[in-house]
Amino acid sequence: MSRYYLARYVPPGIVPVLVAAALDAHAGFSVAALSTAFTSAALDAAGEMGVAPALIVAGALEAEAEGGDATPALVVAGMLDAETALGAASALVASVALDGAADLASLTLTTAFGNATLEAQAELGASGTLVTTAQLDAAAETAGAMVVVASVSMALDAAGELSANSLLVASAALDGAAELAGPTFTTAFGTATLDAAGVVGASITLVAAAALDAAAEMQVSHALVAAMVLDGAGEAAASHALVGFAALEASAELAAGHTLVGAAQLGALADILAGHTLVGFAALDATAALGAVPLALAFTAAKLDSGADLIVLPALVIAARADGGSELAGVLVEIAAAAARPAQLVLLDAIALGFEISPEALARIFAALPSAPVIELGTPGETARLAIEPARVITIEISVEKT
Amino acid sequence: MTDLPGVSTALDNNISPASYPLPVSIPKGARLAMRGQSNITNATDRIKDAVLYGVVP
Repeated sequence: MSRYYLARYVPPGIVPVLVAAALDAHAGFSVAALSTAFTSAALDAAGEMGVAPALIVAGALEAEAEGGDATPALVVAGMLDAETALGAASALVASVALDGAADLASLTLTTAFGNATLEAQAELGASGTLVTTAQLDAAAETAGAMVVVASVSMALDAAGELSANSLLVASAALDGAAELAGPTFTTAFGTATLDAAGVVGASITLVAAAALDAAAEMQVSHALVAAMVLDGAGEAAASHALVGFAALEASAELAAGHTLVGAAQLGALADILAGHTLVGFAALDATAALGAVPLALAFTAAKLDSGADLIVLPALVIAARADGGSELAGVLVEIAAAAARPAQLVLLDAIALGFEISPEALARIFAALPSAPVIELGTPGETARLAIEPARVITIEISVEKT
Repeated sequence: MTDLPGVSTALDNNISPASYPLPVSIPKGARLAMRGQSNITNATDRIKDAVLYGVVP
C-alpha cells in the first residue's frame, strides 16, 4: 500500500507547484500502482500567481494486475466542469492512457512530456490561444527513425480560419517500432484536429478531445484542450505514450496574462518497472459561476512507487477545487487519514511544498475542515483572540511598517 | 520567523506566496506580533491584512 510521506517545512516558494496524487489508494487500481506524476503549473491570476489560480491536475496510475493479468490501466483524468454549477458548456479535459496490450505490460516506457502554454497575448487575440506542439512518431513512413517530430502549433483562437471544425488539435506520439523499445522513450504530445479523421487514418489511434469555447457561456475566452492517445492498433503496439494536457485560458476575471503550464514527465525506469506513469491534466476554466477567484484544482505530484526506496518518498496530495472548499477538504481528509495526520497539517504541508492557494480559498477550506480556528487580523495594531480552545487563548498583534 | 518574502504587482490583491506555513508550537497565553515591511509607501496599499490559522494537531 502506498504510504505517504509529507515533506515538511520546505520553504515556500521554491517549488512552484508540486502536487502529487497517489492513486494507489484507490481500490480500483489497487495493487501496485506506481506513478509518477509531476505537474507543474504556473497559474497566473493577476499577474503573478496571485489571486486566481488555475489548476492542473495530474494523475498517474498504473495498475498491474496480479497474477499476470496484465491489463494495466491507467487513468487519469481531469475533470472539470462536469457540474452544472460550472455551466453547461464547460470544458473539461481528461486524458486517458490505456495500455491495452498484454505485451506492453512490463516494458512500457513512456516519457511523456507535455506542456502547454496558454496565454492571452494581444496579437493572438483576446480569447486566448493555445499552442501545442507535438511529436509524432510515424509508423511506416519513418521506419527506423526514432521519432518523427511533428510540430504542430496551433493557435486556437477566435480566428475565422480555424473556424467551426478545427477547434482542437491533438497530436499523439505513438512509438510504434520495436527499435525504439529498448532505451526508449517516447514523447508524446499532442493535439489533434479532430475533423481530420481521414488524414490521421484509421490505423492510428489517436484521440484527442477538446472542448473549446464553444458555447456562449464560455465564450469570453478559454480554451481547453485535452489530448489523448490511445494505443491500440497493431502499428503502435510496442509502446506508446500518452500525454494529455490541457490548457486553459481564463476568462477576463482571471486576468490578462493567465498562463497555465503543465508538464508531465513519465518514465518507467528499470527499477520502477512495475509500472509506469501517466500524467494527465486538466485545466479548468473559470466561468462566471466560479467567480473571480480560482477554480482550481489541485494538484500534486507524487511519486509513488512500489519500490522500497521510494516508498518513503514523497507523496502528496491533491487538490481539488479550491473554490468550493468542501471538495478539497474531502480530499485532504482522505489523505490525512492515510497519513495519519491532521488534515490541516496536510494542507500546510502542501502549501509548504508550493501549493498555491488563494487566501480566499484557503479560508474556505479551513472553514470546511473540522477544528480549524481562524482569526482574521485587520489593521495595524489590531489585536484579537484566537480561540483554539477556551483554555488556550492567543493574543495576536499585527503592525505594518513602511520603509 | 523572520523575513518571509512576498511580492505582488501593483494590481494584485495578495502577495505571493499568499500563505506561509509556520511550523511552530505556540504556548498557551503566548503573545504573537506580526510586522510587515513594504516598499510601497502608499498609505493604503502598504497595509496588509493577515489571517492566522492555528492548527491543533
